[in-house]
Amino acid sequence: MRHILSPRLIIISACVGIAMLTALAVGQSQTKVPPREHPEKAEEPANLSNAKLQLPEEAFDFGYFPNNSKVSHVFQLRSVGEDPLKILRVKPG
Amino acid sequence: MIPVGDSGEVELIFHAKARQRGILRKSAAVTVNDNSRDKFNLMLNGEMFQHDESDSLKPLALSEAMFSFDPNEKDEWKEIEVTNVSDSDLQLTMIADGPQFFEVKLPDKVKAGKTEKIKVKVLKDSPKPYFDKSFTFEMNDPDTTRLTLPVSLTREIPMTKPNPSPKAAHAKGTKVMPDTAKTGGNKSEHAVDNKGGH
Repeated sequence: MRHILSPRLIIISACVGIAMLTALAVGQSQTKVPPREHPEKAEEPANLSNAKLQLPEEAFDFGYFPNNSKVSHVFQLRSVGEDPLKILRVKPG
Repeated sequence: MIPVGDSGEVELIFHAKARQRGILRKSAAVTVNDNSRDKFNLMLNGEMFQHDESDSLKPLALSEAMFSFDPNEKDEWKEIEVTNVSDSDLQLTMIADGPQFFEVKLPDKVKAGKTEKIKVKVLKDSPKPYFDKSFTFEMNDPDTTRLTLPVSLTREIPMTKPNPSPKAAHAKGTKVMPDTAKTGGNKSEHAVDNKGGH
């Protein structure tokens, strides 16, 4: 018993314990996944913008067009606010 | 980014596959930094017809359904014959085209039972080496029928093997369709997925 409770052993045990706790804390901080930011909000603080959009046309009718081909249409976006207008995302549906 | 007072563009491209026909209704959701309207939808509508049945369309039958150019055919006019198969004269009005890329000569009128020509040429200083565009015109028949005809400038695949003659390097039939989704500057292009089409 005297051997087990020697001050030297207590100090060594305390050091090992502190080292293990430190390693555990470091490991947790390194493996911690940062919260995923929304891609739109990450690009632009929209609530601070004074940009204004004017959209002359929102839908386009091709009428008849051939299959096995590519057709396209260009939509105009006008910037009429106090800040530049940014197109943050276009998601085809 | 679109400076104040300027305009930007979003181009939507729809790829209609072979054998696909029927109604087209597609949309793209756009997000901008406008607090009052940060999200909105752009819509494309239309109806596909069978590519090889363009000569049976009404009220305007077509000899061909599209204009296709290779890089060696820039600045050359190509023609499609259009025949008015209705009982009334038809007036043709351009609705949308690609002024920076190609030029269209549309007949103002096609008399009943008569045939005219639509001519298209790709501009020499077209801003892109290859593209897929289209133009849309409308007729004054009771249904105000619209027609959209594709105009494509294809690119050639570089030959991997040495060619026996310089002409072979420009052989036709080695075309690929270009990428369809790119962004940059004030303009962005987006391919609209055609899955789920009718």
